[in-house]
Amino acid sequence: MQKALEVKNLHKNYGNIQAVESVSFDINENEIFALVGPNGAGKSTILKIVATILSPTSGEVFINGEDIHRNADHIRRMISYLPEEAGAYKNLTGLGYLRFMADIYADNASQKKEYLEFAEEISDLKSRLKSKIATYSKGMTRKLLLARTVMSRPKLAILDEPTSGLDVMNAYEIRTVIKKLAKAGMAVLLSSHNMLEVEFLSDRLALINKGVIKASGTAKELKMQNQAENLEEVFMKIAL
Amino acid sequence: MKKFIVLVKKEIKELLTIQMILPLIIMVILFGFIGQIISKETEKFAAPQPILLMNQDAPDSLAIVSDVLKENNLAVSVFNQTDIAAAIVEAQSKRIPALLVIPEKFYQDLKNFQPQELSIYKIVQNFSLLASVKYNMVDQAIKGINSYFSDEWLKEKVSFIEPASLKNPVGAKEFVNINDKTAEVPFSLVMGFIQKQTTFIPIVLFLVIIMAAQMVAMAVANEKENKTFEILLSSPINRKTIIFAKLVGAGIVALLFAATYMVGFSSYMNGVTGGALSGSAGAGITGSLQALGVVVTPMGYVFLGLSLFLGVLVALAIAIILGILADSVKSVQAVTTPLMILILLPYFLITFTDFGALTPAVKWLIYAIPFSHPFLAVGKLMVQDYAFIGAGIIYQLAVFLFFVVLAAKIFSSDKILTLKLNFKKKR
Repeated sequence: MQKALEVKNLHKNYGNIQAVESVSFDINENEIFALVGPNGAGKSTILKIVATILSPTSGEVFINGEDIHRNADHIRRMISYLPEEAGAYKNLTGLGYLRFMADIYADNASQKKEYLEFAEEISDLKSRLKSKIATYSKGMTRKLLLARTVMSRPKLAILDEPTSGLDVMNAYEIRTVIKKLAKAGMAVLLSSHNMLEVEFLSDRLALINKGVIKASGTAKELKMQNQAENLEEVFMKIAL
Repeated sequence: MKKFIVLVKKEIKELLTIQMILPLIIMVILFGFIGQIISKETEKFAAPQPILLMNQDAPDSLAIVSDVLKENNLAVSVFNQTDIAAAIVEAQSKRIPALLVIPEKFYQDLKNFQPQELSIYKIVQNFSLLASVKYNMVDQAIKGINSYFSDEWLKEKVSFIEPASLKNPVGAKEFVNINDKTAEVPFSLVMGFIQKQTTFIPIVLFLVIIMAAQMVAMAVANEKENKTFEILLSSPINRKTIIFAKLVGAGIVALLFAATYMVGFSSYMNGVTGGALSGSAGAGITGSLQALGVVVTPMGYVFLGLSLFLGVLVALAIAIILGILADSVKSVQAVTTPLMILILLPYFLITFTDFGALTPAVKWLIYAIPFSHPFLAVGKLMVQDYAFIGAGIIYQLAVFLFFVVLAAKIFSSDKILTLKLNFKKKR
């Protein structure tokens, strides 16, 4: 079966700083894969490379079998990226923002309509979509952005800390939506430093520290291999 | 093309906020209002100004001095008592700005060729610039009185020559030469015309370039800080399209602002200089100005417009790069400072110095700054030096393309996210 994402021997340096070192992993269709690690572990750098925003120092990345650097324009039609703690254009209304992004992704009016309807359903913001984004709470903005990310039903959704800074209810709702979308066929690459969230959300995960993947597998496998009760314990055993 | 239009629309929506539009509208209304007030005040001063006259001499003195004052555009009121303090109170209560006292034996002693002194009391009720015009008119009237009596003395002593010829035996016909054209016209009138036509253009240009640059640098820094840039960069849009949409969106808003500023300033200037060259004085010099070639042609305006527009575009292209360099929205002011200096330097040197007299090194430095050319074009426009303006436009275009290519290179690389002036937080 075609992999949704394959990352092979990825390296990324910022000047003298080695941010990512020999990272390899893959994601199947319908699968949620999580990169778990502390702040500064290199998670966001990997996600930005996969999102075609940063170039790797070396290594290869394939999305749906295509090298992302050979045909970045085509790749960008298959992916969608949600940066950590991203904002939106505050002078636009929620609906205005979704329309703007739908115009960018859609090829025609009917596709735009379809994207908008899907985004409205996912965001669940109802009449508040007509309000300016400047008036939104953090949770509402995140829901809007998640709806924007998945509206075009990308092959791979790249979500950087999707619930970072959100309250329990908003975080739960967003996790539920992500699970639902993956079941419907979307592959998801997400990063998080919240081990409980990762255990709830991901099918497989990789524990990363200082730019190096220390272990990967399902949460259950990792816990068994390391005789740990939870992922936090696994991480502490592996990373130290 | 569809995506480009969508992006341009978004840029305009983001930039044209009520917080941006409201101060602009207030500014235009305020300038028009100030212009109207100044215009009305100027009209008031064109009318005869009041003066209070107290005569301590014979009635002949009063008649002569009063006539001379009236000839000098003063409206004379006579105070019939001899108490100066009471006269001052009278002037204060009637808001008359000056009291002129004719001393005893004034006329008799003048007839005997003995110099005399008039006493002038200037009743100050405010210190505005326009109020000082009233006092200048009194001083002019004193000169008129002097001229009258010196003429009388000359007629008495040197009766075979006209007093005017005796006082000014050498007259002057004033010619102005510009390039290969010469016309008989006072230089002050030519300068007055040129300043009336062009005074507000450099000011508008200066404000618009600074405002447009700040606007686009702020927009870029804001997109970077909010990470909306990362969303755009990972979406299926060509990166050059993102840059051009930013340039065009900010360019349109800047032009809109420029037009609004122009309206505001022109209504202000019309108020300030209103009628300065209208009427017979204006008609008199129009022919001379045409003979000198000091005429703004429609083609001239097209050239000036192009130079202005390219000045704004160069500022926008540089501001995009500076916006990328900004660590946060708060640091935009700091990173755009070099750009402000590049705009301020030619503005002051060209507007307030004799540019032709500057050293070649300074001149070439000014020519090298792309923002100098619209300022220089304003003067060259008057003498139809289109070759100079055209060369400036070509240079500006080259600089613009250089910075657009540089911005495109930055947008296509990691630098869009990693380039910062604060290198402490490189990752």
